[in-house]
Amino acid sequence: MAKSEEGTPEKRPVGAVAVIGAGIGGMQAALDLADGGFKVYLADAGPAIGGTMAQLDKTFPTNDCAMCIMSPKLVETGRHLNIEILTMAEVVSLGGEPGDFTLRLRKKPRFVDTKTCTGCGDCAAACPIQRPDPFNANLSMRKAIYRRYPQAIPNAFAIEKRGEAPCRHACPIEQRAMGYVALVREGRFADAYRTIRQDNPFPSVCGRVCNHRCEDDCSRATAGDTAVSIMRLKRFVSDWARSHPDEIQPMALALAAQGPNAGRSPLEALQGARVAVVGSGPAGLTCAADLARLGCRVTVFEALPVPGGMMRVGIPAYRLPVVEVQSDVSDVLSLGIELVLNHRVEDASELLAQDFQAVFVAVGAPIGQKLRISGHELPGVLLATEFLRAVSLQSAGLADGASAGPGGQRTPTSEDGTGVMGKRVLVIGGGNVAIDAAMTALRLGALWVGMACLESREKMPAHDWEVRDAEAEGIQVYPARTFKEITGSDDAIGDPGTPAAGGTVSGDTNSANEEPDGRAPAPATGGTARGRCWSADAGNHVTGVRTARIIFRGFVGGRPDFDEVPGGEELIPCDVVIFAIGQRPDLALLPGEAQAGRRTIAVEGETLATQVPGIFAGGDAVTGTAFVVDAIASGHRAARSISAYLCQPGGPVAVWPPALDAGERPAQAVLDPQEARALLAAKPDRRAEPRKRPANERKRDFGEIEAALTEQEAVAEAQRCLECGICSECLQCEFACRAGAVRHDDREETVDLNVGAVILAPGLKTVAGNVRPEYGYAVFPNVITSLEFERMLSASGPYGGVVQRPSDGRHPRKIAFIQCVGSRDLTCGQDYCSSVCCMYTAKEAIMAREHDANVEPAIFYMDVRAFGKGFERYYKRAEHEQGVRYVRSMVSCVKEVPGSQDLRLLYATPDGKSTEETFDLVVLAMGLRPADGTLEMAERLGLRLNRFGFAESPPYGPAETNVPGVFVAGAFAAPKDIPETVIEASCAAAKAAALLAPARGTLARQPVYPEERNVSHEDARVGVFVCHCGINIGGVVRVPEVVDYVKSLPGVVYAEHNLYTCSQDTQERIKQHILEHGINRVVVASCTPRTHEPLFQDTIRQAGLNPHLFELANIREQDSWVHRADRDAATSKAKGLVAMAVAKAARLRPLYRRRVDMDHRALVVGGGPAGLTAALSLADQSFDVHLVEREEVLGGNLRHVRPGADASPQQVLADLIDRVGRNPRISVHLGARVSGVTGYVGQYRTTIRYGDGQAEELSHGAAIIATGGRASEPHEYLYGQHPCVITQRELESRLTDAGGTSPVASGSGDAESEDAAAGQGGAWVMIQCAGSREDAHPYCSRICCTQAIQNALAIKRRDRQAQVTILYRDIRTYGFRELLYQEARAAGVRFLQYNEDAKPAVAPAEHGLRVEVVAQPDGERFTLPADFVVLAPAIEPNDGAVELAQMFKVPLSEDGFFLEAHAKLRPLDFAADGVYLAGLAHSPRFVDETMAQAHGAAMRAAALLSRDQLQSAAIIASVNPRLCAACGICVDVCPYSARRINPDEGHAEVLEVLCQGCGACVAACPNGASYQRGFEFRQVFGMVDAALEEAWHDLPAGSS
Amino acid sequence: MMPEGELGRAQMQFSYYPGCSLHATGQEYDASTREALAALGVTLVEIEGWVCCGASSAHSASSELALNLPAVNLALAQAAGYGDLLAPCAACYNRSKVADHVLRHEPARRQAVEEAVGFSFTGAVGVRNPLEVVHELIGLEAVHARVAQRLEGLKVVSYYGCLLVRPPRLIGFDDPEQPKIMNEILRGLGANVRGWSYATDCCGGSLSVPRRDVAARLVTGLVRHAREAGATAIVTACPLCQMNLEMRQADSPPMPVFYFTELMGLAFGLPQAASWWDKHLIDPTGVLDAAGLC
Repeated sequence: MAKSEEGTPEKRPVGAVAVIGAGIGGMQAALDLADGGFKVYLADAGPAIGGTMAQLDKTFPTNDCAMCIMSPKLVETGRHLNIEILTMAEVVSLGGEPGDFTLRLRKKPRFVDTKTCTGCGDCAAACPIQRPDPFNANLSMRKAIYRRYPQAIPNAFAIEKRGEAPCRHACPIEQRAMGYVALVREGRFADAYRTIRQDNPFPSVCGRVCNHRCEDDCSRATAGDTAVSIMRLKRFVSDWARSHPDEIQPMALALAAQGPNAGRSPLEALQGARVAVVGSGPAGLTCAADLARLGCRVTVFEALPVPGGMMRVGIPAYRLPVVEVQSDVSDVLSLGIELVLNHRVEDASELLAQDFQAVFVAVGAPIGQKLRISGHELPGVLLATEFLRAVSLQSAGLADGASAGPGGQRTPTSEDGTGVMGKRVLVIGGGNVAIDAAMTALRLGALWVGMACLESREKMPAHDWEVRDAEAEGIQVYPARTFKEITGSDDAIGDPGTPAAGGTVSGDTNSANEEPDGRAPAPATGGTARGRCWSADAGNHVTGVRTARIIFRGFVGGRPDFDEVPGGEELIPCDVVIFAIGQRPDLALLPGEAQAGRRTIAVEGETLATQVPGIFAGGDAVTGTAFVVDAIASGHRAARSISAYLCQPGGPVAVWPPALDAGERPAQAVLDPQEARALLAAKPDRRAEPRKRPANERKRDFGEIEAALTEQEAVAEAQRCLECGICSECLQCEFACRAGAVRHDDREETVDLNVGAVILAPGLKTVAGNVRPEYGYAVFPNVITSLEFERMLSASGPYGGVVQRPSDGRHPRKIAFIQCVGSRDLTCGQDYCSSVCCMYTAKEAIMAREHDANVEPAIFYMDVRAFGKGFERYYKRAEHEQGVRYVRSMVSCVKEVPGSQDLRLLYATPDGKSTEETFDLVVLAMGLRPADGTLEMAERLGLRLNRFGFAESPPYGPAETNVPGVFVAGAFAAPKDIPETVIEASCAAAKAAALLAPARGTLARQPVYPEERNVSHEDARVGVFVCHCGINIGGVVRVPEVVDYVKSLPGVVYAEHNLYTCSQDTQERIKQHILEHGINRVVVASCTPRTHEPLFQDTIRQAGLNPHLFELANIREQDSWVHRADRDAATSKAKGLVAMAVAKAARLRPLYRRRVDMDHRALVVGGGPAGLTAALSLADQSFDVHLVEREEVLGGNLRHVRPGADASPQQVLADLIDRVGRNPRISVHLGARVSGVTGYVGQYRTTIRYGDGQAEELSHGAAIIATGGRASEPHEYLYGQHPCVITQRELESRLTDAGGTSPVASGSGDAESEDAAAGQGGAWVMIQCAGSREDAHPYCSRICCTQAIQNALAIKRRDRQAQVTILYRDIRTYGFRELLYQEARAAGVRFLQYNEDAKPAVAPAEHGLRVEVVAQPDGERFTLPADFVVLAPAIEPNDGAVELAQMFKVPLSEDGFFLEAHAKLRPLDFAADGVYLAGLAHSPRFVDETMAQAHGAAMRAAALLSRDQLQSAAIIASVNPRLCAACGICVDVCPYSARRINPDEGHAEVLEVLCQGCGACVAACPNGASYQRGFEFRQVFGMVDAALEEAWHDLPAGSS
Repeated sequence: MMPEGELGRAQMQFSYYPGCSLHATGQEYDASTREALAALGVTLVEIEGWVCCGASSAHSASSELALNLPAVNLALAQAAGYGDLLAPCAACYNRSKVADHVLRHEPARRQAVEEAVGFSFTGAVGVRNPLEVVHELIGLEAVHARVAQRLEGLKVVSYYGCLLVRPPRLIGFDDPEQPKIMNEILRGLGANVRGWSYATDCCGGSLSVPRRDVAARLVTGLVRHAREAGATAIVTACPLCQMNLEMRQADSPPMPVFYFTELMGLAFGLPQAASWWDKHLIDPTGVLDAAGLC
């Protein structure tokens, strides 16, 4: 560990760093810092880390699979002890100061607990919601519960929600309407039923008589269409459930088993608590059901002989068949609820006095009212409630009080009618009950039925469709009336007649005044309503109702407010009057203090608690008449309150659970109008209207009026749902998840992180595909973006790696790639070059051909910008070897061919003619922009952005921002490719680490393990754990059978199966069993070792076992997933795989790692900008550094860099040298060369030799090679022959040193040219690629285009008349350098393109020089007079590289540059640990890029140097000296220089710290002297024997 | 018939600027615009004393004249007070829109124009095209409700030409590259609208006289592409395009070119529609007959 600063008076910074954005850059920065001893919070806006790179297919220029090379980094990041991953997080604010920040993050809800989720995917299989998958560029669908990609870290799902769907939001019981609608769409009716039942115990009822507020708020309705027919879908589902009892049974059981608050532990206090519910209507039964499911013992008291309340006796059978109510009710009762019928509770308090701990009063509002008008006491004047109740009970044969039973007669006949047969009936009232009464009277054989009410026809409380139905049946409506009197025949008045059976109903009715006597009918005691409501024998007492027309304005203070219309009196003749003008509850059972006046009960609104502790009340009794769904809501609320009360009797009643508090409810989902329009256009638009029986037919009986939707209609109707909530909250995922990881009540949270520094790496997004509308993206299906094509190419992508056209799935033959879409384009504000498109397009074209050799790719481009290491070769190979056609022309527009949907591209050929060519597929090379949300983030952080939204870094301050302590990496700083991103990430990490160096190690944790158990003397005792992986394995392989088989295997002492072997609790079980059973080898049969082996190894290590006494059998990827169809074979194979694993495990030996002490010092070779920067960076991170420079001065090439008039490079250099000189940690060795290197990582000894021959040995743990490069000497264009032919660097010196264009010190000797150039109107011809991109240097030197343009601009700034012409092959001003190119063109610099095979010719002329050039594309010849010709020579590595490479045993590329470990992901490392590289020694690059690289290399070294010890890998090669012949083959094949012949012992040996365990030497050894630890011959042959063992092949299924 | 509420909403009026074309070669555009819009409850009041918009030559001859001419019409419309100025001709619309834009956004030039024309620009009156009026102000629902016979058998492509939606910075009522409004209107009329990619390609109208060969080449290409898309007729909203397209076709049989307003009138069942076909250079009745419309 590096020493911390001693005695620093300042407070120590916080040893933690927040990295925002977890793409490849963020991961790299996090890993560097965590390895370097810092705690890292890695936050990403998405649900998983991996960023854009995860979406890529292959990477250029190595054609590696992006996912394959990134995956180890993902796993490493995910498992790192000191990296904490925060997903779905965005930056809110930053407070504090550098070294001690408080970073506030907002974590969006994920709805899945990442710690519990095992990633098995059962939830996604159960989810009914399909969403376009942005990971696959929306080319495929995923579910609302999803994992970003299969390898995602964290390996956990997330749920996409937009808010609560409006249908659910509008519903009093928050019925998951969108949920069951989605399940109906999927044809999963049983699941739909379960979802409905989750919130609603009365689906059959609510499927028929609900007022469905859900449909009022349906997004379809609010978007101007008709609502989804939600209620009727519910009816369809309940009908289906009724007719499929077998399929519903498991649902019902699951439902009963699962309380209404699934996932919460049952509350002790509720178990067996006794609760009384008074009234068996929807409120009472709902409350009873909820409490029963929580464990209460509930008794329901019902005064009537049948349960169901108004559902049963208030709603006529033609709307709600009795059997439906009965069936819902019996489902509820089957939860173990006791029902006492015919029992009127006289006093609720008495129940409390008995053994009930709480009482819920839900007695409804069954008492009807009459108007106090003259004649209301006449015998023919009825109450609708009583009328309907009597009819209902009669039809069930219950009029005499017999007990309730099913199969009641549904259609009353005239014989048992209620006396309305043949009569004229007038119903007074305009609501639903009035309609019910009227239509019932009609069905009972009334001669004529009318309805009269206060309200106008439009304002009637009944639904319009109800009124229309009534009218269709012949019921006459008299709206807008007031009622003066009920007229009767004189002789009848005062003669109450004789009720047929003296029943209570008729008795009450007859004795009723304006109010009944306050008692609901009590059939048990009174022998109710036998036969008739009133006696027809009593005679025609009523003759009519005198009414008057009114203009009704509504109710004021409960009283109607109207004006009578003069002369509007009318007598409506009738024989029977039925009042349906309101109902009220019967409150006698409540103590006085609980009543609020005569009409309702006083309860606390939230909790429904009355004044009497323990007594709660709800439903119509509290609210007055409302809808069934309101009563159910009330029942739910009461159950929550009562359970809270029971947990804390006497205390205040909290609303429980808190998740259902109003404030906690998620917001309603609002569909963007544009999206709604698109969805409306895409989905079926006609609402399924239910069939109604014809009025003439239906009015004859009580058969149901509406038919249910057919299955086909229901599914089609469900398809109309716009799915505005995205997640439908149907809970199927929750039901499917056996790990219990789903958390639908997750809410957003705020997290404050105390960190010392912040690194921003939020990454990129591609420009929108339609940025150039003339290319027809999103209009023509076969025009796609590069990202879409990338996903198409990917083997794990939506098309499984098959390149096909979106329009018809045909394989395209001709594919056009159009470059610079959204790059280098002023018209769409994307002026800059996106840097990567040229190369990724070349790669995509090559890959397309690799996928299908018939593909003919053509790339339309402006300049090919192959400027990076190895890029030019890649581009040339694409063009010359891979059959990629390059067309230097921009496509003006794309037209679609009707029918074939092929595409016509219009472009100009080199001769200037317009041509049209047809292609099968067009791929647009989309430019890059900063990721979404970065603008807002920058605003919150006060970060300065450039005009394109990228973070601005100061010149020569790579990774820095304007906010101290906040650093930037990757594409947020400028569009860049993966290696540059990785370099910059390490650079940002280095700067953060330097800032926080004193706090290194203060917050990082080290794993703590118990002492390892020595098992060498024990026989193998194998413990086997076989995983079901939810249903991933268990659904195919018969896991218990495998376990039984395994128990019989030799050495196995314990075997069991687990639902998820990787879950936290199973880890604990494994540890326990290791101790209990003395297990000394562990086998897990589950999924892939790639992600899970380290986890299990860690577990057994925690139990004291060596982690290598573990073996994993992959019975998922290698078995259940590939043999889904054949359970027997899969089971048999699983046995075989486990048997092999057991055989190997029994032979395993503990493996130990070699440890090496770390020398914390570093060596930096090279004193140019790279070496200086790297040395300073390391020193700033508290490491001592030897800086070796072979020249006598520091500075390298930077000494000559003077772009334009800008002198700052020299200031930067002076500053660097000054800081190095003053830094006590840096020892500078000038004039010294490295002459020998011995040792290995952690312990190097390097000899340096000074010019005077003196030598010095330096000890160090790591080395950075920064030996730089140089400009090549041009051999053409008269360079060196004509004084006016100079290089760009020489030009720079002229432009700066002497303040003008005066001659250089040596002078050109051509006075005339000098004069011309010094004066006005000089002619300058610059020739690019004077050495680069040709045989001698077949690569691009990267900086020359920008350098030439800067110099041209400098000339133009001095002399506007100067003629500057740049002869180029491709202008490669990548990134924001493109703006210089624009500026140069605007300033009048001329650009002429030449081809490699027709190079310009330079000849002396009378005055100065003459340059002949054939300009492309049209081949026009120009002769350019030139006062000076300026050449851009190639950049090549410095000499000495070969020797140095040999000494450090690191490779060089074919161009002589040092070759990094991996071009993409390890650009700063060598394959062998401990040596790093930076600067021109790596490849040509700009100074700021070199500095970034140097910081990055320093970070890579620091991460290593900060360790106190190094460990070798465990699985490495070993040598059996007795068999070794010291032939040396192993030494030759080892790529890591980890092999040598020990001169003393005379045999080969392995340098264990260097060995990477690749196995090359093991395979190469002719004597079998080399072996691989952990894969010893006897272990592997043991596996082979087990595989060949017959035992498991022919085991009959089920045997053990 | 249109529901009551819709009629109430569509009670709009415009100052009407027919320009020279609609009084000459595009009389059927004039008539069909007036009558189809009237059927939708829109009142058009032709501004009195209107002058040439300068489209054919003024803008290449004098930048002042190119502004002042349309500004005269804008001034007249502003004084008339009937609301926005409706200019059915794409060229008139374009010139008027340019003038309107300058008057709104360039104070210095506005002053010069105001002095030359002798009015004070208030900005109360905007410039409208019939496509925009039908699609944005009246709305497709109202158009749909007014359809009496659906144009189901009529296979058409929508053609905008180069002027109508460009430059997008000034026009902006439809996508300049992949326009869709006319398609939506025609689909609302029940027509069989074919997809094609040439809706905004140039027909060479401005070269129809000086370079007949160029115009003929462009027009013939467009007609071929329309035929390739399966269309039997082209629908346009520009009198120059309509005339040029009908006049310079080389292939046989000739393909008729309708104004979208004509098809609105036809779909609305306006009896006057039959009188418009006589004005066409290419007799469209055969195509209409074949589609079962006439």
